[in-house]
Amino acid sequence: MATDNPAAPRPSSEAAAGRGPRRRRGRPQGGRAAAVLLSPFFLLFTGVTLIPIGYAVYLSLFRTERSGLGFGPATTVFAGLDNYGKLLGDSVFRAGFVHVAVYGAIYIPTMLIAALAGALLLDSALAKASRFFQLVYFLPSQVPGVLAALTWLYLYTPHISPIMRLLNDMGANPDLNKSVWLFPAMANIAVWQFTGYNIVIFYVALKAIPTEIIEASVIDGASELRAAVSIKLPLIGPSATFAGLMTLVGVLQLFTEPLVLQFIAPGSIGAQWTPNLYNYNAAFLDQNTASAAAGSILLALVAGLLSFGVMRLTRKWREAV
Amino acid sequence: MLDSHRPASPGTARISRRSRSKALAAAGAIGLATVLAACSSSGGSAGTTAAGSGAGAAATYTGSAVVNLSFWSWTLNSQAVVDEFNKTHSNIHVTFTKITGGPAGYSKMFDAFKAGNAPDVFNCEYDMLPEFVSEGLVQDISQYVNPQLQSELGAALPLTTLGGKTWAIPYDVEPTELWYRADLFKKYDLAVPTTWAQFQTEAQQLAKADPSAKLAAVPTDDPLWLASLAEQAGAQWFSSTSSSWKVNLTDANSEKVASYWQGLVDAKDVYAAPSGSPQYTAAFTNGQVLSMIEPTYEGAYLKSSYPKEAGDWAAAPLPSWGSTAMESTEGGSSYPVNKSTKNTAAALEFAEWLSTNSDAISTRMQGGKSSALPADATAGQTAESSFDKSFYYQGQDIFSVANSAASTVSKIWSWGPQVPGMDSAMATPMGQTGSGGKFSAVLSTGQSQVLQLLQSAGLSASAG
Repeated sequence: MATDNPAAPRPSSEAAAGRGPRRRRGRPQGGRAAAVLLSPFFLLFTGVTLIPIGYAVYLSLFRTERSGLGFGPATTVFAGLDNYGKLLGDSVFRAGFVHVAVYGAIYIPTMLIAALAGALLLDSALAKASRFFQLVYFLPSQVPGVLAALTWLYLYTPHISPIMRLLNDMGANPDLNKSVWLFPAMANIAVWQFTGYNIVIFYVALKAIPTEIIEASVIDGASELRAAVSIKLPLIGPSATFAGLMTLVGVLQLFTEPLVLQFIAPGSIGAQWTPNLYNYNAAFLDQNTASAAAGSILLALVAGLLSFGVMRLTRKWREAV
Repeated sequence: MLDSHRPASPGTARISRRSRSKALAAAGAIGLATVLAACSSSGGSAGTTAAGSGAGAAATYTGSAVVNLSFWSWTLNSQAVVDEFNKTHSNIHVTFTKITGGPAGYSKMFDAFKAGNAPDVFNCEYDMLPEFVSEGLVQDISQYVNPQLQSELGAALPLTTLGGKTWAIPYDVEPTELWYRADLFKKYDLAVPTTWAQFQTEAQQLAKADPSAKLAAVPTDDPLWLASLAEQAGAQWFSSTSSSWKVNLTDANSEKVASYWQGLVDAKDVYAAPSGSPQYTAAFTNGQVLSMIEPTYEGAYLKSSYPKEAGDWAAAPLPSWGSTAMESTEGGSSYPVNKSTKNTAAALEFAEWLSTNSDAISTRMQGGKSSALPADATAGQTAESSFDKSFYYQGQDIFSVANSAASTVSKIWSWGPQVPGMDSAMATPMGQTGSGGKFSAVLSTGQSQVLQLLQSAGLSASAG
């Protein structure tokens, strides 16, 4: 019994007294195992993400200078935050963010609403052959981005595309050189590509809702539509906001669609139309690595701040009911 | 789509469209007057030193150990040309890698230089050469320019001479010509215009007679097309003192060209569309546009882009502003040598062989794949005789047109650094000319952007 040794602490139970020393020996072993199992991730993360970001920050603090006619050797000069200042003062760079914002404002709500509606329809009692349709909706997302943009390039080319001909016949006179046509046209490509992908994701989330809840709502007299809007939607809130956040980050990195559509709209899509294009231009054609590095860091910061903001704002939707 | 006409580049970032790149690759037109004069004296020696190891060549590799070189280009028939070189040179082995033309190809080259695995010799257009030179990537070959090289390529050497030093072996000079559908000209009873005034009148007549047909096309994705027309009018966008650049895109000559084309586009007397777009190709395929203003090398590309129009296309010199014929060039390529090549003599021997050897030229011309006119006169004659002219209207000898055009090219034009930046900055207003934008805005944007680019690179540059 415990009273044999009054100085020793009373174990809470006989079993606990026996397990004590073994438990103490177990803890360090558990920690080492965890470190070993986690190390591949951290090694890769450091090597492939942290070091390059650090190098980019380092590069962004310098500037190359030439003298005379520029055919002599160049010198690298420490420039501090000059590159950042120049970028923030460059109206073309800032305009890139505006373009991305307008594009996102059209694309994200359209795509999310369409995907949610599609998933709800697939999940409803009305759906037939849902497996088949899931596959069909999912397929466009497996087409590489450039190919999707090229396909739509042809569909947007006047004189060749039946869509453009139809719009012309209806008197609409589509002209991709005008913003009012350009932004929806670009957003359309992404909507075509990714709505299906998100339908599948939301469908899976819907399938995870316990059937008892749906049955309870039916018993309470809810119609299909009411159940969808008031019961299912809030329950897949976390899924939807996460998808929205991922889409937002993707939108900030817009690159492929403007790149390809330049072929038919060189007047409205410049080489520096989005921040990503601007940085690409600076790095690979202007050979101005420092500016490209600074621009990339700025883009990452904007993405980070926006993500943080969105997470805060949607906190109540992300916590499942 | 991307293959049929001029590919732009993606990536560009300058993802802008260097539609000319594809054509530039094939180019080769001798531009300058002295080439014709020098032809007879240098012809013989260039022909007999086919092996490239004869005395007098600018550089010869005479070692016995085999040197491996790499060569990058987008020009057609390059593999065949390289195979020919390898056959005839036992101590140099060249490996050819095909790359894409335009900004995408140049991005790849710049990246390779950064990574340290750039080619020893590569195809580099004249307007991109200053960029490679200012980045310190290519060798100064002034010391290798000996009398023989001078006599073979002397007329074109100024194109690769920057800051007083020679940086590459020139291949060709490309006079801009009027490529036209001779059959449609006959159908609409039009004469080939010899002055711009006549061109304008004919454009108006055609538009009135048949609203669906247009006399010529303006490539709205190619700002350097405007450069070549400004050059023809006597402009000089880049000039330099010993230590600073002078930039003048908005001089009277350039503005004259801008307002001329503004008038034609506003009145809808010409077709304006991006040359890399499907609708541009469709317009030519359907015979809705009768001519294009493009350099000599375009001839070979017409053959591959519009095969059904065999026998319809012909070439003519550009209409002139006054009574004197004046030409301009658009593009053209050269072969610089990588600064960190393992064997400069071997690399230079290869580069010189490419530009001057008759076997190299005739292999390149096979199948009508290249209508470029080489800077070396003898090589030019080889090109002319080995080129398959059957595609052109009544078997026209397009090389003789190129030759006579070449003799009147402007001698004051040169390129400065930051041409890619200039091209992509001007691309947006140029693209808008198809839907209400102004050509003069293209010039003013170019002017301000080039000054800004040069100054932010730390160089001294001013307007005028």
